[in-house]
Amino acid sequence: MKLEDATPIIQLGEHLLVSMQGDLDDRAVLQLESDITRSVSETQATGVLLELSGLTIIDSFIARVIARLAGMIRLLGAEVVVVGIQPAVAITLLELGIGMQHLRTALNAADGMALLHEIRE
Amino acid sequence: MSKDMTTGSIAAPDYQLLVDSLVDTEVIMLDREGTILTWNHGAARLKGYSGAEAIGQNVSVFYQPEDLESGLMQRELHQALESGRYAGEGWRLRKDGSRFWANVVISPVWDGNGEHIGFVKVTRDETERIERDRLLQRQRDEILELSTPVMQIWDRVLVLPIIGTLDSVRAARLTENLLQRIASDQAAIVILDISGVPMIDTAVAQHLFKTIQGAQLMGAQSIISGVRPETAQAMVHLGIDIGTVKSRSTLSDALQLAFRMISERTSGPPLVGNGAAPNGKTPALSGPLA
Amino acid sequence: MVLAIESPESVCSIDSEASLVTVRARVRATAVDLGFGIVDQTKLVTAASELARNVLRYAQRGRMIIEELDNGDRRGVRVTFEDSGPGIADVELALRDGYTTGDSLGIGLPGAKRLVDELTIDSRPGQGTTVVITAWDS
Repeated sequence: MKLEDATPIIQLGEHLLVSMQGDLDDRAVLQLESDITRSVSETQATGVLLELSGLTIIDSFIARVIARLAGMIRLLGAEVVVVGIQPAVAITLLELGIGMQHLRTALNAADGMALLHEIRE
Repeated sequence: MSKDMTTGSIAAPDYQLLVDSLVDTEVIMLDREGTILTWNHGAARLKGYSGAEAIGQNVSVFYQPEDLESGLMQRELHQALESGRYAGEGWRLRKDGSRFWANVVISPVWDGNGEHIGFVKVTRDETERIERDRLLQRQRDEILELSTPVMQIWDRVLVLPIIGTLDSVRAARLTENLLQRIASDQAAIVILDISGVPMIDTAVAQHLFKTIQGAQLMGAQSIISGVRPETAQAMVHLGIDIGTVKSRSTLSDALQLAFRMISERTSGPPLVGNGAAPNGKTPALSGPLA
Repeated sequence: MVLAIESPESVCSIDSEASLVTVRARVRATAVDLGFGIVDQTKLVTAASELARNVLRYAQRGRMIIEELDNGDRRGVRVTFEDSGPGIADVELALRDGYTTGDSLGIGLPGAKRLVDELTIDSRPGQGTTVVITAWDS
């Protein structure tokens, strides 16, 4: 499976929308990490929307990658908002003990986009 | 005592008398292969077979086909022989094909020379108990459902009035319901009204925080309402820090706050930039990156 | 009394990162088959993913066995993870929050335990580890 098929990175004005989908294997997740950071730096994006509604599970590894990714994007000068975490996935993360409190979240892409604008104010 | 009985120190007629006096318990003897050797009144009442019909049959006739296929009967006899006793529960069949929930104990029987000659099987009908348990469980589920109502009070605002004490089962159910409603209603704000919670201890506070964290993971903000003065005192004394979560003493204050938060969102801060906001552009879709 | 139903597809080897995807898919299929709700499915699959990852991380290879359970009242699933890796010296310590020997956050075992109804570990240092999780349909 080509990664581009699984995880499209779409530019929306000055923001990037990354939609993670399906059951990603570890290699795909790590590949995604380098793709996103490269895209942020190439496009000079000011915000990244990580859209996770297509992820059916987030285990501790994927959660860690997401947290790390958010840290890298911030270092590159952009803001990150995570949107679309499924209820069952959120409950599982809580039980696992992963609160991801340091991440900004929004309910859907539209809210996330508004939040990115708000943060830049 | 049971050993004496099965090694035959009680005379056979006495043994049969004793066993026959048990009208609601099946006590039967099987040979090593599970062929039925004796039958009692309890067995006849429970399963609907007369002694003449049952004796000589294999005990497998009482098992559901899928259980037989999976080797359940062999496993039971094997375990009885290996560990000296098998105890278990499961569905078994009566003569008329109806099923009942059986509580089964099987013990091996040895003759005077220590030779394994068969088994004693004691079976009781526990169908009523299991059905009562199920009913109770269903009622409990219904009560849980009722006691965690989530109400949509305004566009994108949910209110969750929590009434009564919050144990971990109820808290889990509550969080699950709430998060599902956040997703289906696309709620941006959740008001957790705790005025109906008699006491907030550390366990309850932890449950509440988990719920708030769950809402946060999904992108909804929480407001706590209904914190009474004594609750506030207790929480601070317990070292419970509500962090950045907003709190209001009454539900109506919480609602006002929620409306303000919603209107701030929808009035679109980036568009009406009061000051030097350079990013007034509306986002435009411009294809996937290479 | 718990009745275990074994099926031919119940064993799955764990030997590469790609096998994690298979592990998750197999466990998900079983949970769906048993009629588990979406939350229970997600918890079970996540627990299996954590444990399979532990096998890879500490023992490089191992296997997973899935069994469906029926206690007459509820249906459930038992998933066993076996490896012949270095083993865990202090199981009790390994189940404590915050404990880790690898590069993880140490939420693997205690985290997985919170996601299922039961988690047991049988480990012999130098010989290997068997972790068994059981989840019942709520």
